[in-house]
Amino acid sequence: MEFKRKPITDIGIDETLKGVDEKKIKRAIDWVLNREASARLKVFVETCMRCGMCTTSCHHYLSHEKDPTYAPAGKVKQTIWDILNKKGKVTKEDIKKYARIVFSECNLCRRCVQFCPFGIDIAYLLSLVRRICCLIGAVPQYIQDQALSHMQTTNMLWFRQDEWLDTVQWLEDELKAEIKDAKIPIGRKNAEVLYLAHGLEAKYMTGLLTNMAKIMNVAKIDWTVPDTDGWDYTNKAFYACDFETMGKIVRTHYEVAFRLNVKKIVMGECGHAYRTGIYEGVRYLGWKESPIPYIHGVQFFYELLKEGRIKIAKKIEEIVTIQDPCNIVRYRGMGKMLRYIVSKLCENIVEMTPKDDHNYCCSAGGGMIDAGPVWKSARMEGGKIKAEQIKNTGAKIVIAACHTCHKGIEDLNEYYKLGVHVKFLTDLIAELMEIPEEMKP
Amino acid sequence: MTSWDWDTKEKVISNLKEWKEKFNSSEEILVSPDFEKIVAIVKVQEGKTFCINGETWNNTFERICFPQITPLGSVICLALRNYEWTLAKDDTVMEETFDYAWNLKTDKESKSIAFNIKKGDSYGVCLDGKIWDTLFFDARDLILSDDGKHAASYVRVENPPLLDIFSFKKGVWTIAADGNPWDKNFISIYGACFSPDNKKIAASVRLSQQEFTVAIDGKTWDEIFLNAWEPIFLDNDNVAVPVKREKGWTLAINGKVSWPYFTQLWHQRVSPDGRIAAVVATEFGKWTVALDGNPWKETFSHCVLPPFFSADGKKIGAVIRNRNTWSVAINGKPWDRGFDRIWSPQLSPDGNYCIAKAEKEGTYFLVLNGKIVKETFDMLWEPKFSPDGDKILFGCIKNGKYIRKVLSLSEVLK
Repeated sequence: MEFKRKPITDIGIDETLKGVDEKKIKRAIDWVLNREASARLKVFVETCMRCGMCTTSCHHYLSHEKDPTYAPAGKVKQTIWDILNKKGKVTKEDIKKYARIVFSECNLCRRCVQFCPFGIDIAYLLSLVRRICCLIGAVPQYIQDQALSHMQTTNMLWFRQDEWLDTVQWLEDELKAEIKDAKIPIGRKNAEVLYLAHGLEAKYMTGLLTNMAKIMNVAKIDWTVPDTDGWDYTNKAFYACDFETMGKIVRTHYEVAFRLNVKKIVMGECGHAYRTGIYEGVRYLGWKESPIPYIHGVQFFYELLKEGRIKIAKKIEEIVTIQDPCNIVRYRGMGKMLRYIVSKLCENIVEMTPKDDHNYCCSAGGGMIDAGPVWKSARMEGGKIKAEQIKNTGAKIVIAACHTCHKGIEDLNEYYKLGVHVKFLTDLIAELMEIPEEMKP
Repeated sequence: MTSWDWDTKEKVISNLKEWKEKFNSSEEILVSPDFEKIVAIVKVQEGKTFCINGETWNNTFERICFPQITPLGSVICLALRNYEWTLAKDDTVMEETFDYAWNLKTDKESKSIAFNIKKGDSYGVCLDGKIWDTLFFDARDLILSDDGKHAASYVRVENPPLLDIFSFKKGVWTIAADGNPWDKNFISIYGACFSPDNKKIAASVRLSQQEFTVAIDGKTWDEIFLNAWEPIFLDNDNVAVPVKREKGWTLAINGKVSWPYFTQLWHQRVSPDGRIAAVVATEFGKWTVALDGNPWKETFSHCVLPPFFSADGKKIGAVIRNRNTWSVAINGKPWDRGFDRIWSPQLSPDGNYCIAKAEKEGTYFLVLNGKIVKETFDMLWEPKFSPDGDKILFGCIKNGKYIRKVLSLSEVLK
């Protein structure tokens, strides 16, 4: 098994390692393995029979012509087992290799877990290596930058407080051209719903936030957005396994909800943030489950449609296919809700093969897209199987209810010339729903 | 409170149905602390303004944000007019304007008004009409001293380009008090508070990935922790902060670990009789209040909000969420009933009664010691005990009218 890769330089890893000595590396490894790794590590290491059942589950393995160095067990062997075999005495070069594998060759999608006869959580094992890299400081530059922003601002973009407020206000003004007296309430106490947005929706993808506001207004939801930090639901620190920051972000979201005394938090279409908001961050903080309901956009739209709070005026006739975001479908079983929504919006659905909780990752998840441009080629290569899946459906539209899947598939579309459009549910619903006459300006 | 009207049992302050006929729309309804005023932002032909008990301000604006009624009953807001933001108070508009203004705050006695400002590309604070002499690349949050004479904000004092992670890792944030930044920068600084004498500021600071401590007026403690939440001053000299060590979360006082370890610990508060209560998780999903380090026996599944106290400190309460419903626990004993929502419970001066506003399925009502008071309302504002504890005052909306009501405790207990 030979580890052959094109050289890539990421200053977040390479420059950092120049200033790191091997004592610091050993300290980080000892800390993670002895203080943080739970019994799961021991059980998984002792249970794995090296049977190879996980091998063909991985899109990176399949996309790299069955190169065993990309197989899940192969990645474990080259990282955490290597660390264990060397009793933590590893070099900077080892760390560089580990960082490359765990940040750019595993999306933490957990598809492999479904194929392991013992249910070994391989993504957890690789996360331990990410955590070691985090404590050393060897994290891809773009992820590190976002995590540093989160540490103080809690948003991913170094957004100032006035920038968020100002953006929401001009979006509200714009929406009034479509919906009479449209409102995006800011910091309104006692609303039923606290809506949190993706950081990008406040800067580069404002149309998505406007469309969610349009749906909220038409569905007559009693809602608000935060008037303080905590409006951005993303949690890029999670990708670095920077648990300290991840916990702070999740706590901030719930503290805002408690202060405003809302009944529930609703977020948009994002996978990792949902995972941190209901599981990873919540558990880190000591909650067994989310202290108040934390609702993903898919569940929110499903309920709106089921309850008849929004009605769809027309359907899309072109062939569409459905991407299953790992963090909401494989982790949380939202595949049926997702399909119910799509069936209300689209006439012709051709499913990918495999689909639902066995669908492949978009190859952008788990922080790969957030690792920045230097890792884009790795992402494109790893997404070959996803591109083939999409192509085989003959679809013209791919519905991706996750920011990461959305951008990841857009990039695959361009790279593999798939000729598709990638759509959020929010945009489709806002476009296709009925606007009652009395709400028209 | 003693000067408030505690005798008139019921006053119809305003007929809100008339407001609906008069104005295009109304939003953000607020009531004054004595429940004598009801205020809403309303749309008139010229723009937006306030309607107070049916009377509108003369000034109108393009936008009205952060509306508040101060403890003394003044109506204040930050407002946009001619594309510039300013402060408006009781229909008087401040002359100075800003490119943006937010985080409007007043002190407990309404003596001062402060808010964050943006002027050009610079950020800072305006306190009582005076803009800080020094402005910064960014200013986030506003912390106002109890006497209203000092304001602080987290500020960015370095401006490295995006993606310059090595500069950001050195720390670009600090706190500025009255415009004067500390001389140390941090990766992150948060949870700032003033000492009771308004002379010092304490904040939690992050020094590296796993190094957290407390800084007081810029001087950090020698003790370093794996994580830390927000500090509080116990008095003018002593600071308590939840910190994480290998064994879990505990409370450190002046850097020294002072409590047992818990799965989680936050929202520490000092009782009037000088004890410390905090929200803790004794294990995953088991939340309660700990008093001087000793947790209540009863734990709650979902969460516990910050503790509150009776005047003598003998009764300690907290809003709890257990098995997906909200309730209140006093001295460790939860009320029997749960609600969809519950608001700011208040203990009577003698500590024997606790009253709260609650909601179930869209109906609002009062709850006293866990028992629902029969009358229901379309809207209700948080009730208050009279200084002698014999009466309960609240504001409510019923049949389209805003009503100020006083009930005797015996009436509520019926």
